[in-house]
Amino acid sequence: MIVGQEKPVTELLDMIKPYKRVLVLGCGTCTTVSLAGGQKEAEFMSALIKLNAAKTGQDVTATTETVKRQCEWEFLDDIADLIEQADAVLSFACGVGIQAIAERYPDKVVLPGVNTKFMGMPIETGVFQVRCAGCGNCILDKRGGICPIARCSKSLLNGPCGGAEDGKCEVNPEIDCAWYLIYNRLKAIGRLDDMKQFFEPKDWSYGRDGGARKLRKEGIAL
Amino acid sequence: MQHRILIIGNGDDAAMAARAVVAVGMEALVIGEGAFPIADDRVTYKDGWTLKHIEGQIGAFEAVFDTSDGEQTETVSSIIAATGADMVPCSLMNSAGDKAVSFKDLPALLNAKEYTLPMAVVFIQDADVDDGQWVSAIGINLARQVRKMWGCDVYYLCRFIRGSHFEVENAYRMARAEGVVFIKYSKDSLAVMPAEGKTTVSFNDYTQEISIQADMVVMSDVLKPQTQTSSLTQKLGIGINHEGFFQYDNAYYPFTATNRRGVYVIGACKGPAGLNDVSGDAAYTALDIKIQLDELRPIADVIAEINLFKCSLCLTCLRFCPHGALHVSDDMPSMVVYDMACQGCGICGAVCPAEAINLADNGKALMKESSGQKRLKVYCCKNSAKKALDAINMVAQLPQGVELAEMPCSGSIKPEELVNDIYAGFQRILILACYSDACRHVNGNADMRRQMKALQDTLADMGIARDSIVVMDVAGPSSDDVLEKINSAYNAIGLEVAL
Ligand code: SF4
Ligand code: SF4
Ligand code: SF4
Ligand code: SF4
Repeated sequence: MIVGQEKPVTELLDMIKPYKRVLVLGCGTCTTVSLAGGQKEAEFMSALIKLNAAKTGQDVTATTETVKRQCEWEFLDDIADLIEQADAVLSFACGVGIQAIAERYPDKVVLPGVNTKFMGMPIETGVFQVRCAGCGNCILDKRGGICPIARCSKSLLNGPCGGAEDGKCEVNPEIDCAWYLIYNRLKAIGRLDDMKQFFEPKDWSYGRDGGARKLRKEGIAL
Repeated sequence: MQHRILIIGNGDDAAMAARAVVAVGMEALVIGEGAFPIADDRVTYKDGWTLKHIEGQIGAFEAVFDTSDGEQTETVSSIIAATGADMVPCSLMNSAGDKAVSFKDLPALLNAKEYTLPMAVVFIQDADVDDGQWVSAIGINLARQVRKMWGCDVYYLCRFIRGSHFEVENAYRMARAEGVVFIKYSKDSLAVMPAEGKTTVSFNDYTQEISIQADMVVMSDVLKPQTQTSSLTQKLGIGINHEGFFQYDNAYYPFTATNRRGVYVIGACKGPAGLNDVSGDAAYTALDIKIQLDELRPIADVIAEINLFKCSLCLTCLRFCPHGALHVSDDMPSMVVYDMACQGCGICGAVCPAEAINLADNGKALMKESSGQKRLKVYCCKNSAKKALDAINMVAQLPQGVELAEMPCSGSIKPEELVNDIYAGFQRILILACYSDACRHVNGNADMRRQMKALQDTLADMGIARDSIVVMDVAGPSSDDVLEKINSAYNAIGLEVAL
């Protein structure tokens, strides 16, 4: 899932200052599950906006709504009325959802309620950790199912770096050394030979570089 | 309908449980490793089966087992864990030499034909930990047998004899009448040392140093949790205490019931206290199960309801529910509630990020509306503060501007509710929760405190005083304390230095 984190409340209150009618919009998928932008967070933010307005003597209204996914226009169309009535939409989706609103409603102000952090998963209740960096050309088959790009602090394709101690990363002893994990797992699945597989410097044209990426699903795309 | 109860364990405790279950007309399915002492056509014993996991709720638990024939699933109405505990010799055994035996080993010696009769035998209990009443029961009876069979001097050293059970009290009186000498020793004064074919036991009896030359020393065993305890408690969805035995250290679970309705623990697996009265506990448990099953109904007035269109299956509620009352539906993309297991605490509703969970009014009921200017809003846990206020019927006499709301558990409070209260004009919110080791819903108090800390941080960022939200722990019976806390929170309004 995409893991997000609510922006600090003061930053958000500052952001919405110019607007009188704010729609606080939760996203019912990733940011709900990462506990950053579901209906609960949206309602909480609305309550804070109203409270702050009362405290500072402003005239602000905040409405709350949540859609299944903000990153699909169809779901956004369902709430066209609400969006029209608002001066600004404070979106609690990830950066994708925020942009989807901006695109679908060209003359509407859209503000980010959430900092989009990473693609990851909960490792314990309320604690999330990155798992994938979206490099566009997955090598997990050769790295024991553990991503060195996302999980090695130096994103070494050919590791380890030599700085790890007791299985912990030298950058921060709270982080597991990804290469220590990779080695142990390759050993456990009887594929230690994969350690020897050397990777040339990554071709980032599959990933971050080369302009905005686009993907066609052949057979489906018209 | 014939109820079948799963009993985990095949020792004395499990046998006691099986007998009690059969005695009230139910069937028992017992699993364990090795032989089981009971042969009865209402008891099915499965040697070598181990529990893998359980699903479901009281009346219909689906228990999945690992067996030599692969996985097996059985439906049982209720579950009793009676796995016993490990008995290990107390630490003094190491230094005591070969004249020392443990309570566990003595019966074999008493039954042996050939034996040089000892002149003096010293029994010792409470050496490592304060042994419970059950240890006294075993030890005193062994001492009496030694006195009777060998006719020698018998000293019984202890720190406490807990005689609250009449049988222990009785045995203690008889033993003294029969000439067993009981001596209370002071903590840390005890030493046991081999010396010239005998064993020297020295201690302080609070008045003087005493040393006894014993031909034999008999020491109590110490109960230790079995290694499987922690994984078994997880599979059953029940607690573990700080010593690693079954069940939480929590005032709500002193007997055999657990935080998961329909799952019980009896005997040594609960630790020393579990052995005080195993047969009584077994009988009580079997009866309790039968009564509940015969007329199965929800135990809470208001239980959680999940809106399947809103649920995003984030699993947060599942992780927080203290009563094993939630599960992922087999045929809908949603979490669903086990209606017989839910205890209506509302903790799930307070953590659900999708606001998909509803308890009527979030379980909150107004006890007293505020009149005039809104000043203080008090959330009263119905397990403590609410009871305390009801007991003295003081609600009407509280100052003006105080509003009281009843909640099923402090863990049901949502931060946004409190922000709305402050918005509505309340200058302070007081949350009266139960002490954390007495939270009926196990972690409700702790869950609430974490959420409130985060809320206070957010409010402080906005320039709203942290003590706009005050959390206090109270106990059910202490009405004066509750009143005092409400009044002091009320009187301090406006006195706080901002931030
Ligand atoms: S908008 Fe972002 S958070 Fe919402 S569903 Fe799409 S990817 Fe997930
Ligand atoms: S190799 Fe690339 S695609 Fe695969 S997990 Fe790592 S970052 Fe993600
Ligand atoms: S109300 Fe309490 S017991 Fe019921 S499902 Fe929610 S957390 Fe579990
Ligand atoms: S916490 Fe809410 S959204 Fe998450 S699984 Fe439970 S009901 Fe569904």
